Amino acid sequence: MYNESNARRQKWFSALVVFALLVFGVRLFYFQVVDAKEINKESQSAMLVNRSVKAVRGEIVDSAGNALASTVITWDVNIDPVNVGPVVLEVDGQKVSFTKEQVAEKLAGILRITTDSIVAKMTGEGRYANLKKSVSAATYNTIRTLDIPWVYFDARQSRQYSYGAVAGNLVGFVGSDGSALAGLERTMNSCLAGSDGRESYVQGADLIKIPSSIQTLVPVKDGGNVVLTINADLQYAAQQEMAATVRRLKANWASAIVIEVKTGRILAAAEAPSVDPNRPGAVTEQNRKSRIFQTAFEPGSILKPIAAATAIDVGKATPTTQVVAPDRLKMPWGQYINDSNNHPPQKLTLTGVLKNSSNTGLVQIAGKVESATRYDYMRKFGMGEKTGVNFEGESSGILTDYKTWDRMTDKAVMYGQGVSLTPIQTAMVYQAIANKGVRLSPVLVEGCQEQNNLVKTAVPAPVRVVSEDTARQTLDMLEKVVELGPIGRTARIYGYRVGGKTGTAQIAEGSGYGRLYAVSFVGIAPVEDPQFVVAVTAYKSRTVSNSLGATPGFVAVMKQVLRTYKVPPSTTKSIKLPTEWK
Amino acid sequence: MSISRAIPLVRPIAPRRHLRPVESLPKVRAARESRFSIATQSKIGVAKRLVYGLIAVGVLNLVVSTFCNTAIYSISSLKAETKELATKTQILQQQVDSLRSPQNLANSAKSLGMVVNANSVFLNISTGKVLGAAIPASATDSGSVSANLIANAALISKSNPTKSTSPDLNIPVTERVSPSVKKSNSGFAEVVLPSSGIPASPTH
Repeated sequence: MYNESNARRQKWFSALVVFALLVFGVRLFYFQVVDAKEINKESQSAMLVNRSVKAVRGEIVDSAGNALASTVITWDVNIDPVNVGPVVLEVDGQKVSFTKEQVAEKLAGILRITTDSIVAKMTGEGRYANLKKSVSAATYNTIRTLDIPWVYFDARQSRQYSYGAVAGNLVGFVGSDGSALAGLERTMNSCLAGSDGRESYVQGADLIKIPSSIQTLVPVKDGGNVVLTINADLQYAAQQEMAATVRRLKANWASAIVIEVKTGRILAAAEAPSVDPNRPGAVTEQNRKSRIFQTAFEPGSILKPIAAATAIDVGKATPTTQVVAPDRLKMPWGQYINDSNNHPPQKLTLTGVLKNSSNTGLVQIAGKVESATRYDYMRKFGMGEKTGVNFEGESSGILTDYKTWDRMTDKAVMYGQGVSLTPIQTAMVYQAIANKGVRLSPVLVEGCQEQNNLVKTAVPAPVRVVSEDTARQTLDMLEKVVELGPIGRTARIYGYRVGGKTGTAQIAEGSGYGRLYAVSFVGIAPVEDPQFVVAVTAYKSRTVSNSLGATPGFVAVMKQVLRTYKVPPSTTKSIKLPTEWK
Repeated sequence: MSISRAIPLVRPIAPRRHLRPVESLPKVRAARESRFSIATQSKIGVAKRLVYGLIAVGVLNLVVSTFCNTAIYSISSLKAETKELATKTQILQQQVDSLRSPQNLANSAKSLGMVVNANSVFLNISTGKVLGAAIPASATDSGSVSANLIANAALISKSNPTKSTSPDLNIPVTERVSPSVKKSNSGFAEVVLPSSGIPASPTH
């Protein structure tokens, strides 16, 4: 009897279990398959987070990999005014109660703002009041350790420029919202920016992210690094020198460019005043830009070697071509061309013309070359067009068509008036002479590095400007300028063969020229195997009105270059070239 | 005996069944129950296994879920720790960046009385010839540049070279220790350690 009822009960129980399982199974099927989407949607809508993942902006590094611009996390310090109240803080291991005014005073000290400004923000019904934006990690940590319940932080990406104003005019800066505003930050934004991603995940009630729920909707792509040709240490040394030059000459600004002759790489492009990208607002708008690429002016006598090289290249002159150079030369139409100083007529060779920087001598020799030909050479030397360095806002300078030149301009372009060049264009003219007559495009950005893959910057093809022989002869003449020139000799560097040219350019003002000058010196070293061009300019010098204002800067920078790149002293001597004739 | 005898021509009639007494009910029931019991027990076994299986799956699910939850909190905690360490790293990195910035180095060098020697001298190893003149550096030789003139708002840390002014005062006095291990002929050139110098390279 017992067995029978037991068996029956077991039978019913089994049936019940099976039935229950069936019911659960069906229900489960219903939840997990039939209505799964709806249920998921409903359950996750409250907990699902769909957010943008910010790409990390890439770095701007110098040729040695030193980060001139990098991305760091900074924090906005905010308070919740509704919950502002007294706080118990730990002081020397003791719990001490502070009033909200005392807390405000403490915060003011850390944030370096006034207590009043904080107290003013503590009142109100809002849930948000910003005390200070973008504070450093150290400040953030200091405040965080206070553990004030009504202070909270918003992290954000910010740019840090560890080298400050070193290459600041090149690097540029970004705005407070991270948008690229100037310099390479802007020019190379496509490399640096990367692209933001998007992800979704489910978070628990305690805001914990459930790992298995993370879905990458759009993968984030961090920005690449921009690799410059700049040597930051050299850049610093050159900037120091230019800052000192500006002080000494009371000039508006000064610049120094260092070009590697055989590659066209810009090793330094120093300017003073310069901008510290950490605080771009601290300087005027004029000082935030890069004059080296963006400001064109009449270079003056610096261009004389170009006219001389042209005459040699077309066979109209040699370094020993003779001329009698008066201090004033009357033109057939009645106007005069003057030298910078009064002197009796000088019997000069073309080399002597460059050594003395004689306008009258040059006009007589280089003037034998037709205007169209001279214009073509000037174009080949890169005048009147952008260099190809791809710096935003680069000026192409001004070189009008020779057909538009009046009779005076036709002569004046030979000694650097009536034509405007940027400092980088001037430097590249000399690079062409130093590089056996082949002009390269200046390179400032080596490339964009993305995950160890350096995508090199496309560089325009080299341009043969003059023959190798012409370039050599021009270089020999430039060496005589430094060896024997009255001002040129102040550019000598002990132990090295140096060639170069002085320039004291009048600065156009209104319809004429002002009384201040742009003084320059561009030099090449070592002459026996040219490796570097250094171009120094001081604009509107007020204490020295000739190239004597520029040569000390040139010497200091060139010495630094030769030392940095371990160039051994010259072991050969210059060739003999007469500068005068009897 | 003929063969026809031996093989009967007609089918033999089945022997008449005899009535037998009905077996007692309990016996039948027992047999029936026995058959039923085997089948039922087998079904119950399956159900039991199913239930146990489900319970096991449930428990397993619970255990995995617990582990997952613990892991989630652990990950979250580690992420917070990573963030914390990243912040500390950033602070230290900014200090390092400041200390190695050219502005700080220039100021430090100046405070130590250092000047640039503009007269580099080169030794040609193959010929032994010295290129350049070894002229001592002077304060005036370093050009017009003196202290740092280049702004840097990111300079948050500065070197304090005055702390280590006199090198004599800061050189730790090293105790002369006699070697505890006997020299063995390793076959490598011996690195000679002068009394107060850095080890000389054995290479040529």
